[in-house]
Amino acid sequence: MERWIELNNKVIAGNVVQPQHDKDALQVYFQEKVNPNTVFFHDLKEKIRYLTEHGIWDASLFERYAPEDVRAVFERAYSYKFHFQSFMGASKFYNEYATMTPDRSRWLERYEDRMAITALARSEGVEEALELVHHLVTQTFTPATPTLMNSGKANTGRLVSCFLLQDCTDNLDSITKTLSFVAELSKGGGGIGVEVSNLRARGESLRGIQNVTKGVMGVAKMLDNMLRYADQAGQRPGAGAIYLSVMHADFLDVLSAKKIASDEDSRLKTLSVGATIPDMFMEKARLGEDIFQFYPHSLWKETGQEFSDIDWTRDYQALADNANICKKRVSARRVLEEIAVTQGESGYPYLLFEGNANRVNPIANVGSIKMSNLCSEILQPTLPSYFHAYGQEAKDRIGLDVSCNLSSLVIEQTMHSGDIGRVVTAAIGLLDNVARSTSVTEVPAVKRANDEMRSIGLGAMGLHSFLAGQELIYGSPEALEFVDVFFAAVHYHARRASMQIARDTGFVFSGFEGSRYQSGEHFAQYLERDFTPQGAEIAALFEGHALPTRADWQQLVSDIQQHGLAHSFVMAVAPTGSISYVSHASASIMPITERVETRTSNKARTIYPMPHLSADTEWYYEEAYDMDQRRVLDTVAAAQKHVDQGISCTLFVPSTTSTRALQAYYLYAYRLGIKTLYYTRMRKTNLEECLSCVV
Amino acid sequence: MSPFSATNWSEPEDGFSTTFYEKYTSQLWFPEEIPLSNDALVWKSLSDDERWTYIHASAGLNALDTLQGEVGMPALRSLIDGHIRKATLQFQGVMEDIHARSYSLMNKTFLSTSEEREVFEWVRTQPQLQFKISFIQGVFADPDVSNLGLWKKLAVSCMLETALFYSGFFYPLYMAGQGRMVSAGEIFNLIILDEALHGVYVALLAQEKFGLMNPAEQAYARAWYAQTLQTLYQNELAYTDVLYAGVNLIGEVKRFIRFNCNVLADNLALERPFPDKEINPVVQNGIEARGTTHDFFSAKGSSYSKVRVETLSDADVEAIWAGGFPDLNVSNQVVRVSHD
Ligand SMILES: [Fe+2]
Ligand SMILES: [Fe+2]
Repeated sequence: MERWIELNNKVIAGNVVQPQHDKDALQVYFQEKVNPNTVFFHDLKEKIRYLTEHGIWDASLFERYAPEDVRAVFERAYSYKFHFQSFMGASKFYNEYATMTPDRSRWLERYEDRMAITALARSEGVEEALELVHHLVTQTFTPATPTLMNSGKANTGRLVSCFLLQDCTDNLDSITKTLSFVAELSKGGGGIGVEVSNLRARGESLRGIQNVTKGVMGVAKMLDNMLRYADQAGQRPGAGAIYLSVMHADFLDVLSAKKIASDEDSRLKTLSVGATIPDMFMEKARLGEDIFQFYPHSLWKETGQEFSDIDWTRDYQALADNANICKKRVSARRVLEEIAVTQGESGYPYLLFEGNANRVNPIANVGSIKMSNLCSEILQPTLPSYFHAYGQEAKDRIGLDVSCNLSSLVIEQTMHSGDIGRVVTAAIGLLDNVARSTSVTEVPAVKRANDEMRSIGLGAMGLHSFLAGQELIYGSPEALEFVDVFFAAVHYHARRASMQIARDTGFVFSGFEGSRYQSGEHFAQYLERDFTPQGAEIAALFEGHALPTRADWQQLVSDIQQHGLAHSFVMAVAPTGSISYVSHASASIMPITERVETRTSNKARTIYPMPHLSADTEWYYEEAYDMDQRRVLDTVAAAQKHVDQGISCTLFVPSTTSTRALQAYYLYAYRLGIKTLYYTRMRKTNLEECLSCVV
Repeated sequence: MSPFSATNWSEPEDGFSTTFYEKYTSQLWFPEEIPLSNDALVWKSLSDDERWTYIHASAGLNALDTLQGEVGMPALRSLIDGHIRKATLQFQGVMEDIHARSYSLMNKTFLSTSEEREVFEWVRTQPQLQFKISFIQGVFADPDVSNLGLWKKLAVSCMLETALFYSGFFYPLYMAGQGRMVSAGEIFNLIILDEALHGVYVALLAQEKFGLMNPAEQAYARAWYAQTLQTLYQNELAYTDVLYAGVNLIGEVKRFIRFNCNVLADNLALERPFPDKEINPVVQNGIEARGTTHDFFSAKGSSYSKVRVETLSDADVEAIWAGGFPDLNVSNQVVRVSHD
């Protein structure tokens, strides 16, 4: 067994946690694994020649820069004397990001090389590249995994890996097209959300014959199988989610397919499920009343309306009263309870509160928000496409899908940089570059959306580890104030950078005309009051940072009216995985789940003590499962006010939890204006706890 | 003959059986829930020796779980008094059958039909494995049903649950800790969580019987236990020599067996037979009975179980709409068992 694995495991093998073993593991890992197995080059010139000649780095990249500029970028990368803080961070980086020889026996890149090459690839001039490499190496923000992994490579994979498809309209041509899109995106490692509410329900008629269609489950099973088939050459299965309205007649069928007791044939093994929930449903749940769930084909025949286009608040009563439309009656609270039962067993479904998302949709002029992605932080209007059989493609109408292009600020390093504005501007510049460098021609509605809307999503991670380092309690009033001020400032600088790009390049996203950005409505709260710290404690944290005032916002709103914006959306808070380990930050803006994580993946089991965990700070590392989840929801709600898309929000509950508690949290989240809930994680009580309730 | 009574779950027969029953039902799982086929490619990348140890370790465990499900649990259930206790032991037996099925599914996933046949034949002819099984069968079949006789049966059942399974568990834990065979490792993880509970439950029953014996019987029981453990321990060492020779882990596995014999002694409130020694930290972390944190898109974690169903009341809803929150510690009374 390799020594560093053994040392790393020693962190928790004793009676007390011993984080120092992790430092030993880190050292041994470099001494015995990384350093001896890294290909040696005498100088940068030799390295570049070797890597470009061997088809690893993109040779054309080095034609865009003078040799001395390239050297300057690499030198800056190496000038920071970067050190990993944990074995987990180093092993994640060297296993998943750093380029290796084709037989994966030796490394061709070190950390600094990957950052330098990414900076060069994602910039247009040396000044920009020097600025970017500064942020990448000091980890003020980190691009999403595919951008970090694939930038500057000759055989580059895609720079984005998360997609939303609304193509799955109710005919066989569209369904097979969607399957082929899913296969295409999945084999490249994408995570795909598919909206399926327009599909006719089980038992509806097909060409006039009653009781023959297999409903949403039929398509869901095909998607499920496709994801496992198109599995990136065996590396890992694809990942996907379907979004289905609770108003759809098949909703409960699909829900039970995520239950663990379901039989093999009907279970959705890989595919995740998201529930879209309109305001009207929440109102019925509040009142304890029944709702009708509708059969889409019958509804379409009677009204000519697609299911996903229905405004439930406006049209529900008329549809319910219409005897020609097939429907079934069910208690709204019972549906909510089924959702809670299924979440308790499987973690799914995700919840999308349509009303909350659409009330603040800045580009309602483009369309309504009907779905989200695999991690439920992407919320943008989509428009369905209409596909026809082979030979009749001319009749196809291409709608709007989404490719998500994400990056996350590392809160601790951003705060320590002393200049939020500088960090955010650089991050938006990188995301803009990724959008311009992306062209998913295989899926036309994704390409169209990226070309026309150029949406991006800047998020943040490391909230809990930052707060703990400052001796602030997660979810406390002070912590909520920090979140409010921080995200307001990020929003300002992100929007400003987007305006500047529009101003400087002349590119304005299509749909800006008539949007709530143009009218200024989207920024109303910032013109009413300042989002600056109230208490001295939080004010001290922001010392030196330029925080936007009402006057700054006024100026920005008028600049936006004059120049427009380059991106339809600029923010989204994703659940961070690998990149938060590399950046030594707790995940996203969620609380930590364990003071010392035991993480199992296709690599070895790795033990990861939380950043800066010590006997002195331990108290601030309260574990998520021990918290009243209102503290998590309050935190998310505070950030959500400033985030134009969504926030991936997980609920953490002990195994003793009940469906009542889960439902109470759903309603609480809904009342706070939270747009989505990602999955629910349950902690099993371990043996000792179990016995402690016995003896 | 006394009249037959119904099970009254409101009147506990002891301080722990109901808790164990609930714990068992809440962590019920089925091997179909874990995508074993994820490991198919990894399986092919293992060396012949690694594959041999892995699959034969599993096959041996299959036989032991079959023994527990088919002989051990029915024997204990028929001899232990109390409806709730009998129900709990019966459920435990069902879990053993599920474990056996899991191992069989692994064979089916990773082996060809002829390889599968070879493995099952190996089980039928492996001397140490057969010795272990027939020895324990003998105790279960012993007509002595005095407190001492019952205690012996409970004690050998604990030996299986807490010590004798572990020569087989070592390898999958060792592999999964290094990121190899992770989905199969997940099944082992679930099984180990089950066995940990089984070992504690049956040990509590055993301690009860032990307390009912007079000092002379207790002394006899201790001596019998020491001798039995020694016999089975020696047999386990020989089994380890066979099972782990190809992968060079014999020393570590033997240390692991001694470690688990000590845990067994703790459960039975007897003296530890071996000095405390450190075991492989990777394997040690693997047996910590707790859920693990999982990659978002990888194998199904051992972290999900059935949730308690409790109805949301009008008062709860109104509290939230009024800007407050219900007191979740105060029950709404209407508690149902999950309807699936
Ligand atoms: Fe078992
Ligand atoms: Fe057992």
